[in-house]
Amino acid sequence: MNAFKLLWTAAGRRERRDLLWAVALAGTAELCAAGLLGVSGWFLTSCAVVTAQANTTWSWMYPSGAVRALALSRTGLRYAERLVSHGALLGATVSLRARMVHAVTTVPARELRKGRDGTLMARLTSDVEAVGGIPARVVPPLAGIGLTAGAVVTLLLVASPLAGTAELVLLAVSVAAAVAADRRTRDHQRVAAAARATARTGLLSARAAFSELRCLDAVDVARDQVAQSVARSRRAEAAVAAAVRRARLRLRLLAVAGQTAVLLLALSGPVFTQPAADAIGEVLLVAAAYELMETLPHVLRDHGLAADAALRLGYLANRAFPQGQRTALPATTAEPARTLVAHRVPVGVGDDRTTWTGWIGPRDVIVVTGPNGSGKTTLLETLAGRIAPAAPGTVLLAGAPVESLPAGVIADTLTLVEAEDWIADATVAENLWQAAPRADDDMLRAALAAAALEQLPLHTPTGPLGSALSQGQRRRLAIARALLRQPAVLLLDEPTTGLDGPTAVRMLTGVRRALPDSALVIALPDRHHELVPFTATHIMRLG
Amino acid sequence: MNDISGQLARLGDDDGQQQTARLLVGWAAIGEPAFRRAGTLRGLAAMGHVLWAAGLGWAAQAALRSQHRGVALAPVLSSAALVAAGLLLRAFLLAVADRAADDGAAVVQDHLRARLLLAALPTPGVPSEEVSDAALGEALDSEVGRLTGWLTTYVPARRAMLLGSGIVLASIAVGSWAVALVLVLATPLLPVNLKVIGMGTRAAVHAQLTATRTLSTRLLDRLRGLPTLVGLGAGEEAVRATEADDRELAARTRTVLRVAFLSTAWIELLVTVAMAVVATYCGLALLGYLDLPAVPSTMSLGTALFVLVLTPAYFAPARELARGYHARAEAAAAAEMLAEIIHAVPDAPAGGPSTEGSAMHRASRPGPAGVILEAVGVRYRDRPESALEDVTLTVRPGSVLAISGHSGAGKTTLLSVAAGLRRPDRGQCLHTVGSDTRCASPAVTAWAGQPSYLLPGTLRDNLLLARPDVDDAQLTAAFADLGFDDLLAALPQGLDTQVGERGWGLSAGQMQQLVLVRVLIHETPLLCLDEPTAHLDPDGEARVIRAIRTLARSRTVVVTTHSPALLDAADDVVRLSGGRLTATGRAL
Repeated sequence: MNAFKLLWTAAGRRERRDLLWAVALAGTAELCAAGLLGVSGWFLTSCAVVTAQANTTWSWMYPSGAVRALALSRTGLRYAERLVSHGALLGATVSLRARMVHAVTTVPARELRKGRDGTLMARLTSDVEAVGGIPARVVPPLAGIGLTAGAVVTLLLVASPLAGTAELVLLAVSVAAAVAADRRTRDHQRVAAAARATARTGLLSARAAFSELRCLDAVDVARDQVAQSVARSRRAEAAVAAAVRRARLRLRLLAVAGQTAVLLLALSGPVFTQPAADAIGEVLLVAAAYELMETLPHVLRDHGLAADAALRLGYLANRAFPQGQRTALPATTAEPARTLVAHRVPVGVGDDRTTWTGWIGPRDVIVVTGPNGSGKTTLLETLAGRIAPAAPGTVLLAGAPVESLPAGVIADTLTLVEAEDWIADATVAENLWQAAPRADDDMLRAALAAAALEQLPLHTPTGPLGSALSQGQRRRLAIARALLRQPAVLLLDEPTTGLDGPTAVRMLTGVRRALPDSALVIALPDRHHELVPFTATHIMRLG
Repeated sequence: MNDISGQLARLGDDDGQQQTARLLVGWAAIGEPAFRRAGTLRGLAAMGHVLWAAGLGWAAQAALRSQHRGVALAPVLSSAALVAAGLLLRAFLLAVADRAADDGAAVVQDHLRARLLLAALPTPGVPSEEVSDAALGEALDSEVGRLTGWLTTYVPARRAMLLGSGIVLASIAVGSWAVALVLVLATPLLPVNLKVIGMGTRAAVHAQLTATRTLSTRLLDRLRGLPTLVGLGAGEEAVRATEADDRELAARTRTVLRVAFLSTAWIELLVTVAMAVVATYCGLALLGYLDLPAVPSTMSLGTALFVLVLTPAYFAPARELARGYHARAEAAAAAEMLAEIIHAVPDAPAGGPSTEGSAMHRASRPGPAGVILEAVGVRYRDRPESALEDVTLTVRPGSVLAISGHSGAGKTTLLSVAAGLRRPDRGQCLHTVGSDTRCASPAVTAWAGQPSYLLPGTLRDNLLLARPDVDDAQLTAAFADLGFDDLLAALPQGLDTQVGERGWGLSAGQMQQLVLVRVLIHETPLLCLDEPTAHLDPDGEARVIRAIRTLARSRTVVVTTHSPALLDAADDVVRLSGGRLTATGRAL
């Protein structure tokens, strides 16, 4: 989807209207600016001619009034255009971002996890802003350039067809040159953007591993690696700057040709006679048109950035604005289903791959054990509909394949606590409220106690990604949060990591007591399954 | 409260504003020669404009002389030549000036990026805790880039304005001193206006940037948690909250922009009114209607056109400067953010600067290190209770010490003090290597944290960080020696395996073991491992314990763990509870 289309689709009625107004205002303002120069020159020449001919019938009041009117309207129109176009910019950015964030909620969990640090963030900030900037940075300037150049050429064609044709050709060549130069810069832009992303990823990874690197005496090496990516992006950016400079020089040289040509054609010889005042006015109009043309490379560059951003946003845009018929969502049942049916679900990896068939219903306890990499996490994510199963349609919730259901419908029935689940950078209480917005402090404390975390005060700050808590505390906070959902099916991925044996037992006991009628699916490393303080209805060994 | 008045009031009493300006000027000083050159060339480009105007004036005069008969070719050609020469001169001077400005900006930005990287990954020392990853990524990615406009337009603009406007004014004065006088009289209206523009846009840009940062911090956090939030049935809630923030930000920005644009409109008004006044004056003078004392009442058409078209050129550098003010406001807001990072002092290294940084442990092979902790206390900011309280402990050289205890008991903190990564707030930690005793230093330590990460790149790149001087065969052999050959064999691409962001592409257990191998091939007298078996299956655990036992002959090993098998393998076990040692010794 190209940038304009994406913007137009996302924009609300008000932004669309503002955008059209901005086009009209920008075009008129630039026409006034060019007109001011042209009419002033024509006015002065006419004054001189009138004096030379001693013509007393000519009134200077109207032309001089026109000059003042053009001057004032240019200022007023420009101000109005800026306000309107920036209003459209802000509104369009908000609408576009809201659509994209909404689309993000429908992206499979695995895709989100892949780019959760740098790329997704860049999509939703700089890319959205680049596309959202079109109403102020691209469309109005283009309208101004186009309208002015068109008006000037039309006027010239009427007054002096030869001069008009020459200018038409030269202005067209200027546009073509600017567009060609822009094509070349976009390749460099892409290289620069890729290198910047690499640098960012490298930097964040190096910081995550800082203690290791410090002991390895390798901080300098890691920093140099990031610096190399930075240098690569810098070189590409310098190439862009050079290309823009060259484009501007080329446009200025074309302006030399254009202005000289109109001067010669409008004034010289017996063939192209026209009043001197008209000729001078035309020359100045053309000068104004070329001055405006000089801004074209920058406008095209902004457009190029927006177009690239729109390309990168493509996969989200396709989710936000699906082409063709929308698939009807299955009607949500009044009562959430309480049973998950697995029919020949693929489990395990490689040679150990088998299938599993069974019911996960009220009060069931299913323990999944196996060594690292044996597919415990994959099984839990498949059951929770977070990833498309290797064989589609094998996990059924209320008779529908779980992977086809909207995430909200799944959330009514089951809750998955991932191995490294996300903790918001807020307080313990705010994290718990995500699951139960209306819960009071007593309910929150009860949930914490059930997860063996009663000693943690509700106002404790959690830090970015829960870094102010220990690993075991993070794990138990995520479990307490899940308990507040009162899910019919609770899936826990390695809930005992970072916990000592007694605490792990206390936590698992608390979970069972808090959800006596729910089904539990617990993935544990091999030896930990002995810790489960209640009878498992089914133990699944992988690997 | 009215937003704008709030913004402007904040600007009024903001002492930091001056400081930011000084900061920016200081940074720009590195590229100063280039900026000076750019300013001079841009100023001189006004000469091209003067030639162009002269050519137009000449052409008009020639046209007037030969009404309706067509102008003779000679005067048209020569005036066209003058116009072309003027435009050519301007085009080339501006191209060279732009290049100089771009070069200067590149020098400054390179310098700033290097300093950012140094602040993010300092040697020696630890990055300041106040600098968040999000702020760093943003700074490196876009904040430095936000200085470009200021560096290339504003910094050279002052010089360009003085020179360029001076040239144009002198030329106008030659044509008509009265018009020059009008322009000189209009000039004092400019600086006031420029200040207003500066204030208005600075407030706008600052509000936007500050709010954007808050928004983006919140947004980043929510996006990270989006899978979790969706799973908790709160995805829609997150979308709504984000949009509400966004709308508020947009509304605020719109209010401030109304003021900022008003001041931009003022300078345009000045330019256009000046043009209208000059046009009217010249027209009346040409018509001979003027009858004023002391002011010339006649004028030739050539002169009139010459001064008319030069009038906007007189104001053009000021307009450029005004546009520079926008860039300056943007740069100032970015500078505050950059300065926060660049000037965040790295926390001092635990062992003092002299003990870190050199590869002294690699020069010779010292024996295993001993660790002595004396009455060590550690307290984290924002936490009321101490993380460690009065811990006294000695680790014998060549022994394996396991630290056990409940989650949150302070095990990791104790380990990082022992490793020399964290300086204790009270008491001291010493390393003894041979007969040498000194402050604890990461230079004698190998560390594997929890969670542990590999860097993006190939597995080989990651391992070479630990031992830059080895080849593939030696690396493969090291895997075998340590008993991890299965691990390497399980990776289809072996040493060429690509590691993504935060180790993406490998399982948690694989990554943990690979980080461990990286640590083990880095030969140091002390090995500190934080829960090295947390993500491992029994096979992996047994493998790690075997490796630790093998290495313990030549190194000292300190581990934190819950694993009974690893506790059994240790020579000594200490138990932490609430930041205090509650039991030491073998029998626990």
